[in-house]
Amino acid sequence: MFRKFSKQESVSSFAQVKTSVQRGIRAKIVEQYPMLEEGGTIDVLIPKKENVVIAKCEGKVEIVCVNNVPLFYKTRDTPYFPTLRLLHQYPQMMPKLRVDTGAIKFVLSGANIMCPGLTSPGATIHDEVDKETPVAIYAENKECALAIGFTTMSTEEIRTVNQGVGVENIHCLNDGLWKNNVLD
Amino acid sequence: MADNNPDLAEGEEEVQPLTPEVVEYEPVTGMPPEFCEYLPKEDFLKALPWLAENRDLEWLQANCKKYKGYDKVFESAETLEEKLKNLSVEPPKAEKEGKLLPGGKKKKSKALEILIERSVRNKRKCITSVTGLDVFGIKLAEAAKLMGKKFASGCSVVKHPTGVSMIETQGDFQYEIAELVMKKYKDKDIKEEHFFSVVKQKKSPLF
Repeated sequence: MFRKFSKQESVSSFAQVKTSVQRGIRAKIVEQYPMLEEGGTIDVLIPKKENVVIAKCEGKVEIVCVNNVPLFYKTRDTPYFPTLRLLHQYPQMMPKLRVDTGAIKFVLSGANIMCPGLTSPGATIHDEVDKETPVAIYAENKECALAIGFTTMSTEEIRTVNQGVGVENIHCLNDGLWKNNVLD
Repeated sequence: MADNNPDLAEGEEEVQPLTPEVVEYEPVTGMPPEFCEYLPKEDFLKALPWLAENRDLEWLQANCKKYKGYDKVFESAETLEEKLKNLSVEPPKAEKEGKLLPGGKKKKSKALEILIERSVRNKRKCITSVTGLDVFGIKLAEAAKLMGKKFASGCSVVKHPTGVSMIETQGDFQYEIAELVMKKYKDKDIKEEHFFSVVKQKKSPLF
């Protein structure tokens, strides 16, 4: 989604949102990632007094920025996803899937994740998820998440079907959004 | 922010916000070190000096084996050092490619030239447009205001769909603009040979 993202070309408008809208966004994010609510982590990420800016981008993508730092993004028909930098800070927030070494190269260039890459011996499915859930993609022998995906099948289906795209690649290391870690 | 102390212990997370984990990124390419080996080869080589300095040999052996022939480099400390020496000979090329912006983003390298074009509007009136000031690190909006004042004319920053922004001034000020820019931005090291006048999309030195 963000492979060719750039500040000048992709962002069509920046707008500060009303506090009521901001509250709505927070509520949605918290609903999706309950872990962030515990202990009020969300208040650190999106302080109530801080202004939230939404960058609208091509392809109906909206990026939620606080202090010019992109934190979350969504499209019209997907839920909110955290950015990879945020996920690196709070790795517990999302269910994890781990791909084998062979897949890393392709994932980093933005390819969707095929089922065999998740079921082969090197790969692990850490958490069971349903379809259409945001997941963090990790890699064999590596600590950091390398991509954020949106499952197109449930983990059970991934195991049984074992063919085709299992997780859609939304955002990966070194893509446009990763490089633009400040938006203003 | 007093209650959001970032140095909290992990155990207290029920009542306190979670401590963000700090992931170290390789400063040149902005990638987590583990994934540097998956970068294009030239970027990987840029990251290598930092990796060699901040990670030990075992780590390099385990994490940077994708490029063929590099397993030899990481065999021992000596071979690695040798490789690094060879690398440090090359950098002048890399430097030319553009300075790094914060966040590991590469600035596009552009030719250091200022193009001044005069386009005739209706017979006696014309517009002078200046492209390329931003390459020298001049803020276009500021420069436009300055020119507008100096020449007592309309002057504005125009953004073209191609992404290039230029300053357009009403009137014919080709040489005046060049002089003004050189005078006002002495610290930017702009010289006469940087200026080019454009006539019918052909470039020729202004001076």
